[in-house]
Amino acid sequence: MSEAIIESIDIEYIDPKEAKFNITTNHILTLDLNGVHYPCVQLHRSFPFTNPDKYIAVRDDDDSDKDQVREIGNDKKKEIGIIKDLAEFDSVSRQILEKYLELRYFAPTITKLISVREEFGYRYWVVNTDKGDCKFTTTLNRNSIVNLSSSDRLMIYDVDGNRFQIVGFSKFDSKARKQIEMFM
Amino acid sequence: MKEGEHISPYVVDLLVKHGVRPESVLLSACCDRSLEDTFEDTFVFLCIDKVHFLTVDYVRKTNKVFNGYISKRDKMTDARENVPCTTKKYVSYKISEIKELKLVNLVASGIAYISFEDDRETQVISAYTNACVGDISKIGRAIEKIKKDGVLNIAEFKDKEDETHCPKCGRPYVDKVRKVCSKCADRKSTFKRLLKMMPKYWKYVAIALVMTIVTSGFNLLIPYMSGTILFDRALKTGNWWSGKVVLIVVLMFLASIASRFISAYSSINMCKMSENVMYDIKSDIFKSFNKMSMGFFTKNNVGSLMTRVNNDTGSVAHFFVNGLPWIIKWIVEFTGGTVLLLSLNPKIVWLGVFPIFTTLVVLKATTKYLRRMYIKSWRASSKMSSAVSDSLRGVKVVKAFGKEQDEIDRFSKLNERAFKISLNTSTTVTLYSPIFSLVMSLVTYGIWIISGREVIMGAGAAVMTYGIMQSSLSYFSMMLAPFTGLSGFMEWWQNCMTAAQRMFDLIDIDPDVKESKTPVVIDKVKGDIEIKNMTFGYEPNQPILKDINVDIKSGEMIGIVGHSGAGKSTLINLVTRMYDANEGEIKIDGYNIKDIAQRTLRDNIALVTQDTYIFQGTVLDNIAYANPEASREDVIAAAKIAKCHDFIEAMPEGYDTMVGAGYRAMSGGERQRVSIARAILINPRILILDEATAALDTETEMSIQNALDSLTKGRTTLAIAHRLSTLRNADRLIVIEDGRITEMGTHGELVKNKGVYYRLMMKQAEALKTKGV
Repeated sequence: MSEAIIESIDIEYIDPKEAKFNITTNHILTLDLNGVHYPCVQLHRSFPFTNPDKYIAVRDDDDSDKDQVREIGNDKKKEIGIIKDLAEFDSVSRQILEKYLELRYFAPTITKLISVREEFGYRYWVVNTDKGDCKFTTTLNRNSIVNLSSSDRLMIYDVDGNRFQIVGFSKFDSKARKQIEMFM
Repeated sequence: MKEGEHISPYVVDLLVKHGVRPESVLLSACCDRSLEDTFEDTFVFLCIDKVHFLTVDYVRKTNKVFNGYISKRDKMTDARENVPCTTKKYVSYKISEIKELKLVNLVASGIAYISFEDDRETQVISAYTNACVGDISKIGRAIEKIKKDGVLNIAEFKDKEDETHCPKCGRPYVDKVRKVCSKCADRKSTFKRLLKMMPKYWKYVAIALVMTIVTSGFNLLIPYMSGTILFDRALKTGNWWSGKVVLIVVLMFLASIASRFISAYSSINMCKMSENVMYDIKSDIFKSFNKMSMGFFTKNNVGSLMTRVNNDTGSVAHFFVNGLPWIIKWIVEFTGGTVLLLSLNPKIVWLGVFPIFTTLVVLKATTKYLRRMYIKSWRASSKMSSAVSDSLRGVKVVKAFGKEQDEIDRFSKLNERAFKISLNTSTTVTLYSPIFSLVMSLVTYGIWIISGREVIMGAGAAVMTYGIMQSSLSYFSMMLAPFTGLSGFMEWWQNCMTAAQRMFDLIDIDPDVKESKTPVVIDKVKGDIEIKNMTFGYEPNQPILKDINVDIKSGEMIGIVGHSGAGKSTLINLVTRMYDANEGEIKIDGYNIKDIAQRTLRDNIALVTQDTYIFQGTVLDNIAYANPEASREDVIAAAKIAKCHDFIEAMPEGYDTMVGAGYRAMSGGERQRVSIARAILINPRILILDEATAALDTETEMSIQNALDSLTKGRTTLAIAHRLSTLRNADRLIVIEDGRITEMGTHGELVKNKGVYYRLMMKQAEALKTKGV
């Protein structure tokens, strides 16, 4: 069944040998693929929680022709192809891609929970993260903490939609873990 | 420049050092992320002729404080706005040399670039998190305006203070939609707010109070009679009670009966109060649901809202009904028991310390755990009801894919989790009882030893008598009764406070779309619509509609065309005021839609959408939903125009047929026609058709189209349709692309332009040809 599906649609994978990624001084990711230069591309993880290093879509984000009228139904960010697995790339390219992904998927990783308290509809967090110490606020809504059952990563969304993550939640400090579990 | 939350005096000083006068700054923003992936502040100051970018270094370690964080204890001396800083990088550009401030959206963050009019390469400014995106995008739009008009109307870019800040303390709201100030809300504790609800039920409360005191009085009297009076007086000579055993027994029996009767009456009183409280709270919550704007319902799960209405109200009512009389009973019996015990047998009072101490120790050890368990338990049951509602709503899909067993498994997992948590909690609570009983038995033996010894030793001296010992045993347990019930008390207290907090949370929400303080009531709406410089997004930084400008004359029919997700339905949501625009304005007959009375809007704007909803009730109720006073003739006329009269007549119960969930099922076409009749009946001046016929087959669509054609005559109509043929009667067509109006004109003009509309039309014609239609 799944083979039939795969056969019926052409998934364009990016050949690691043909693709050359680069980050400009302006922090723009460029791609040279099969003789075509893409001056600005974006990386979109298809499964950011469950498979962050696999199936990464590369989309053309060049808007130099934005004044031209697009046809209805066409997405502006056209997909150039999909990176099947970051591991297939050589270390230099992989480093570039990882750096860009880190820039794009900004989510400080919580290393220590200093305190969290609830007061009238909000939860106030004080944490240490790999990007620096933070204080932030979330609502009490269940969706402010997302934990996909198939992943050991916890995503916490603050009132503005900023993301904070706990990687390896099952191994996180047990007192803090119990406290957070109460909110889930 | 008005000092914002992110601009500290230290930063202003630096700005002055770079030769910028603070008063010349029109708007400011802060990019809070470096490109090296750390937190770093780059301030952006917009003046009429220049933009300044100032990146700072803080002199000591700082804490990044995101929006909304409030702490009363923590003075936040390590927050960035309280720490001195120095310039790391400063750069400024003339507005005339800038082409645009370009923002590239990343995930929950972005990067700001400056591009130039000349051939200079685009410069990266800094990165920012979602916390700053609103301000920085405002600067981008303001630059665009200055470049276009040469001036800037600053009012358009500033949030209205009362909508974003708490009027009491002036702090910004954490959530602009919810408008609950944590600092001010905190002052009123949940318990105090609950007590404030009491005066409304004062009659019941007063009866409960009197009844409880009387019952407690009897409870205090009976041990005295059965102990001291029976043994020490009636069985001895030389006093008035001597030998009157029968009288004492009769009196005790009467006191007992009176106490039971009063208790029964008290229970009836409490039941009445309970029902009243539940009724009022449910109404309050349902009322608050109804005043919410659409945004609230898209963010909240219906199943969990239903749990709130049903379970939480029960828990809160429990406070009034069981909690309060319990507290009164405890106070009276504890005080009475202790006083009587002190007067009868003061030596044994100190023995009470043991059970009290044990209870407090056990409570202290388990309170945190129990609180956690109660919250967990509530969350588990809420998840369970969400799963039930999810599964039942999607029952068609479940059955179609044969996933019944998976749904049962999913539910079982959640059910099992809820069961385990509940069991753990109950087990812990139940532990109190044996521990307490054990300590109580030990203490009772102590009383027997101390008092019994005195009874034997002091026989005749009347220091301690058998009667006093009996009475004091009863008073002793009465004195400790509150502690026996403390674990149960804790349980409902926790449950009730959690539920009450959630309940007030809902009641406190200030809807983002609300009636103006001085609403304009328009008697006869003409139907002119003017949309000026309107920008709107459901999320602050992601505008769905950008700078929309359109003038619609009364009676005009406008067709709105565009691909899915272009913003067509959003435009309609704004015209119907389901949401309010972020910038710019919508005017109806020259009045800003925000100033027009909601009643005027609802009476004059009718909406027919693709998802029709049929309420439980008769067909008549459904058609007359928006205008219940309509006469039967009007209803029939509306049904005839909407072409639903014939099928309604064909049903045995005609217009009185019960429809909606659980009653007679209606086909998509039938429902659509009923919803059109509903719209016709309010005789709207403005009619909005959002893909009104998209879900129907061609034949039904044609018959409904005829109904719609007669409905749109003489009314301002906005119609969205993918099938362009349905817009053949439109006076003008608007093409929306990526949130902007890209084409506008008559069918002929747009075809002549050979733009998006033309291409779309050709494609549809081609598709029909391929399908052989």
